[in-house]
Amino acid sequence: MNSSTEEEVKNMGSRARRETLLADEKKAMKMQLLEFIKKHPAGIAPKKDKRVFVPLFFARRPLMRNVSYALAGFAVIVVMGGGVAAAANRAMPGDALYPVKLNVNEQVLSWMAASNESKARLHIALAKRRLEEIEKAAPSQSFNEEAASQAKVSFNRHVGAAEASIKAIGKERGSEISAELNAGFESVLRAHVKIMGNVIEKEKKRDEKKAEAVKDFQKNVADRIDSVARSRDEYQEKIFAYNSSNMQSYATQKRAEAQQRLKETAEFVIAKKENLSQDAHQSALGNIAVASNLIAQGQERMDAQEYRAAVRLFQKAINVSQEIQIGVLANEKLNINLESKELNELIERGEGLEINLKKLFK
Amino acid sequence: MQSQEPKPASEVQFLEAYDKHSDALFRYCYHRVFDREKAKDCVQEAFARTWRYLVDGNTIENIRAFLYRTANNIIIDASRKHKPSSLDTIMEKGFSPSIDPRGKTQDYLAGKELISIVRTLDEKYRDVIILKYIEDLSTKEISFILNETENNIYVRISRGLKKIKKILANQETQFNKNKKEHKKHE
Repeated sequence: MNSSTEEEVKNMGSRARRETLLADEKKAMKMQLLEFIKKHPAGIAPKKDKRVFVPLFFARRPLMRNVSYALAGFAVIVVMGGGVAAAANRAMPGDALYPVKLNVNEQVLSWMAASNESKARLHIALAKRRLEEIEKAAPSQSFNEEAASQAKVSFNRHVGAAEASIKAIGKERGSEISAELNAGFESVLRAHVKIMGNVIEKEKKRDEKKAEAVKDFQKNVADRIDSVARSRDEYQEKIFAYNSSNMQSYATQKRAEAQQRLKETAEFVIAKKENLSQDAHQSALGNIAVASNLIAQGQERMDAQEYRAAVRLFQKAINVSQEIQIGVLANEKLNINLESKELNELIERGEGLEINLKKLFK
Repeated sequence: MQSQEPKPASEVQFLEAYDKHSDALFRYCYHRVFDREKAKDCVQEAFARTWRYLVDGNTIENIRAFLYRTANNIIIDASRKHKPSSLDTIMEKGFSPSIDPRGKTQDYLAGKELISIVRTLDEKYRDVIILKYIEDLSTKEISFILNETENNIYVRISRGLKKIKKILANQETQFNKNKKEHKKHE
């Protein structure tokens, strides 16, 4: 009766299975789970509390009393009673409750982050959230210079806090995590500077003042990139020094990481294909080729025993993969297509951009 | 239920379960709540509750099914609390069941459009179709997750497929109609 329909549904099922968590998301969520487990160790049954992890969207009732540990990254805890805090969490730049979101709800989140790594991830996520809010809110009526200024102050605060936490991690646990966090953060900032560029161009046609407000924010973000990139370089140098006797092994590890990220990114782009414009999809595929190219160049350096250069190329490939994912989400949500300098350069040089996605999944 | 993997008595095993099942659980939540951030919250809550269940001295024979069941309960609780998404809201998020009149004949049968069709089904059919054909779970596991008999699950899958077949047939008719009109205007 249903055999052909069932076949179609099975095919749909296999395509839908490509929707997954991004690597960074999975890592951040695992960090939160680890902290939760530490606060509720096995063998010691807690006394009375019934709920200890109550993200906003699944809260049964106003939430203050049952929250017992921090959420880093993407989840939000509502900490005041009633609908006010819930409404504040949904506020965007220009809304009346936006200051409550920035100065109350998120402030409590930062108090509750236990480890320096949680703090760093939380502040990076909140800084990223400011960027996304500005990009999304810019076309709305309520968005204005004051709203942009509030978001900018909050963004700078979170960047500063993230940098401080990353520095603390570097002292207590060595440079690898610090370098990783800085590199990821740098990719986020670079991608969003491009996204804002698109938003500015769109807004210029509608409202010059709004465009100027976003441009001012964009400049602020661009200024931050340099200091994050410098920190990343410093930590990377420390890692090189630490691994000096075993650089080949370190480079091999980095190559594996770059390949895995690229594979995840390719799967992500395939999963999102139907939601993207043709240009955005082509652009994402082109950038996958760029990342693949970087990995190939890194391999050449490894073959020549130039391990530091190889590691830098693999890291750049990881950054490009992350930017692709951000770009895909930006096109999906904001109908924006990111230009890539590296992709344009490749095209100008006439280099082939054929990528065999099947090779990536080998 | 038959034990399919080691019981996560320790933190290491529990975190292994996270590594193994978080993607699939996220996908399941995502196809239920249509929102990435909400889906992530759901996953976190499901794992947290599962850990709490273990810490309270309970044992779990099939952690995968347990996680899905916990996530399912979380989503049901939330949907009772919040207004369910209307089809308009779902379409705004890009899940549109409409057919592209420029006519990609094969495309409308696969991928996103078909997922959108499944999501417009009643919850009792949609959930079993998602669990069976996207999450690739057995009927026994689905019956545990949804707290229904296996017989009920079989019936729902069959009826769900019939409904999908009907929707596809209607859409094909509409698509052909649109195609004719489009040609007229060319």
